[in-house]
Amino acid sequence: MSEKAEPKKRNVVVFACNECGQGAMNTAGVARMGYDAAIKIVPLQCSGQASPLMIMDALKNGADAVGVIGCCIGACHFVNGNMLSMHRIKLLKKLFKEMGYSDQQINHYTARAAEGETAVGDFEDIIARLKQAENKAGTLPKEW
Amino acid sequence: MTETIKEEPSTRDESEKKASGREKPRIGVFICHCGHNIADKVNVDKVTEFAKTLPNVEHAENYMFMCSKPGTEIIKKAIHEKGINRTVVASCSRTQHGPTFARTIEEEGLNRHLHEQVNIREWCSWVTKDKNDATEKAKQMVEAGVNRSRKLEPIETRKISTTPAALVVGGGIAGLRAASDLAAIGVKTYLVEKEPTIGGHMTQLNKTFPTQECPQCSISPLTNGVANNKNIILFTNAQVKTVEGSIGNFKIEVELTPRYVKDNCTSCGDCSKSCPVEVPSEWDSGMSMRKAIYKPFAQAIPATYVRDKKACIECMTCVNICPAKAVDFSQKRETRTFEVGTIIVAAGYDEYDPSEISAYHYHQAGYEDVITQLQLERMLVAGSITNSQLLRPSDGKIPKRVTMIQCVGSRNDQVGNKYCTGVCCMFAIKNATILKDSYPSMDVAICYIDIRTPGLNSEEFYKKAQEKGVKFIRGRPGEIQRDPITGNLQVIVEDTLSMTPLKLKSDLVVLSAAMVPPKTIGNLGSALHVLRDKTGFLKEFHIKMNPVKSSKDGIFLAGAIQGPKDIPQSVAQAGAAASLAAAPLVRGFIEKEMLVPRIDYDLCVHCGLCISACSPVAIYQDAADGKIKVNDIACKACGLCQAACPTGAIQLKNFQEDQLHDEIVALAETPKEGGHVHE
Repeated sequence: MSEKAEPKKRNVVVFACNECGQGAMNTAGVARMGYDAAIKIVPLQCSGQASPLMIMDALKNGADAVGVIGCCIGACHFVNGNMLSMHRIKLLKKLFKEMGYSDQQINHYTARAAEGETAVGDFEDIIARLKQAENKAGTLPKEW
Repeated sequence: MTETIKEEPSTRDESEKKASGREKPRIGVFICHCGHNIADKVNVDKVTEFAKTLPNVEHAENYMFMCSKPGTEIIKKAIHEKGINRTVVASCSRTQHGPTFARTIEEEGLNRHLHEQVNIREWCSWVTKDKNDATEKAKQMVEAGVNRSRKLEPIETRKISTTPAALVVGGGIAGLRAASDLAAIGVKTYLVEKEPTIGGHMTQLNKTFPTQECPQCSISPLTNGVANNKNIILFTNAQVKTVEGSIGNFKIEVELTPRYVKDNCTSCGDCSKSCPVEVPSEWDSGMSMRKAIYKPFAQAIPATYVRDKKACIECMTCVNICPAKAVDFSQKRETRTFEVGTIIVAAGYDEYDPSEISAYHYHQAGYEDVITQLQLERMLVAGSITNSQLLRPSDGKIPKRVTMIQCVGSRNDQVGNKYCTGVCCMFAIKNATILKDSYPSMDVAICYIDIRTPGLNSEEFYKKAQEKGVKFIRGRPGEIQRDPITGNLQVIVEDTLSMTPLKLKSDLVVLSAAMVPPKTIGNLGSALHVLRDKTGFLKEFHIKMNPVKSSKDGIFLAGAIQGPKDIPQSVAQAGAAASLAAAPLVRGFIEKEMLVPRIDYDLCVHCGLCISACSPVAIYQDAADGKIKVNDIACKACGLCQAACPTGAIQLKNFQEDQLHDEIVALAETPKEGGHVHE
């Protein structure tokens, strides 16, 4: 009896900034670096534009995980948007933990536009962390 | 679900169609095959059928190359015949052909911001293995694009006048060329050089390949011309500290290190003759000594002497001896601020320091006869300390056997850099040829990995060197060994063509060191806010289509700061940078799209969080009426204010939270015919 289960169809919403975030994803595409089809990119102007409201909105509407990808720390094209975003996600993680859920569903990353592998590495990490959260049954319930 | 597409011809009035954005959205979806790039992975027909089921989609179509002339004609036709008032094109990235389609709809009278680009190539077909997955993902992305498109609004474009001046950073061949080209167009140009003299690395060279011309003679019209040009304001011993603003209006702060010698210096050289301090000359790559008060070289421009404060022992001899009373130790660091419209960065390169490679023992005691190509050039140049003779640094004898080692710091995974510097093959061949011409009995060998001589006249130059008897040995030397008793050097290398290990007895070893980014690039790069490549060079906007522009608008790159280059390439790029930098200044204005936030004063509670979040300081509280307002010109449309606002009062146009909500919904769930969002 084969136990070949249908691979789980996930939807991971990734907010990407207009500079290094989307740039790295374009570079990854040009270099044909494959990654999980679950990754769905929402182009923003800056990673600091991804408000907690939008992150929770994505999770509420069925996303399995959310990633926010900005420029490297110190290289934000809008000075400090990536720092704001990073701190915001740290706070959100705390909130998730206090509520009793895994804090691995939401993550902040940085990427470099010239290096597609940075974005692909971020995507792989999002999926790995999501799987970890799922195995521990700690993900946010789909129905609120 | 049946198709909701309406086949009836549009009865709309032409002027009404030139959308104000307030009318009911009629969306046209156009899916590109991109040849095989998209269509091989994504079932474009299925995606097109799916798009037709989405609300407000009046037309959906796919075509082989949407960006081609027939492709854009399809879009125009749909706008005419079906009254489409906003478009979604699912093809490549926003940066590549987003502007193409925006222009297309603009030609039909629609605002360019009513176009939404969906990137199903880089973000879907090129990165997804499974065809079904790719098709499903493309459906979601198209729905997300349609959802976003529904609430797009037109954005007006405003003209902003530009400051008619330019800044050139770096006074090497590229910077000089760019500055003199800008000045010739009539643009006031500030040239900032960190060294006390202009001319850069080119003035250090002995000959230039492949014609063996004298670089001093080639560059001196340029250095003199720049120094005497009324349109050029020259700052030497100066560094760019801060750069504020954006294209059209940059505010620059330059820090000037004092020369300690006033402009009335007659360049007589009495100070230098009497100075008791000697340090290795940077300009001579350490091959000769200079005084603490000095002029880097006889033809240096500006001709004013300069005092090296670190080396100076303050004996005051020069102050007392100067007949013009020009030496002034009381000079202080100064900062100058000025405004420019555009910037050209031509900061050049540094020679790689081979002491990092321990096996070559560069700069180690007993290995004085291991030098770099630049040091060799400094020895051979006219008027050098050796009187243009090649003498070994250890004992001053003419070497009988010279071995050159290529790719020192280039093409190496372990140490140095991975990239090929590209010019080392040519300058090693050039120097080997010069040595063969001057000393016919000298044994000159070049140890190379590959000889790279692209372009006109280069291969011929290489062949000529072979005919003259320069030996070419294919192999990267593993070590330079020194006999502890005789002190003789030998280069250990495997000739990989004949598979024989060799020990090359060498009297002089010359390392062809790579070109690396200048040490000062860190500070400069962060002041300019431009992207850098992982090698450290400044990154161009697009490697093929826009190699002259930097990642930031209004900042252009020229010469080796963008990557290793030879002189003609640097000059060519400098010319291109000058014309690009001059364009907005000659025109007198740039156009800025008013993609700025809008404030709903019914929701605003005057908390000021948006003011503290705004990095370009574009939001302020108006003293007159106490309202929070946005400075549209300074705004960079980052949307940080939107995320900071607790009430959702401030919303960036076309990135509004409700709009992004619609987009997120489509991406977060599996695609559903008819879409997730209904008005």
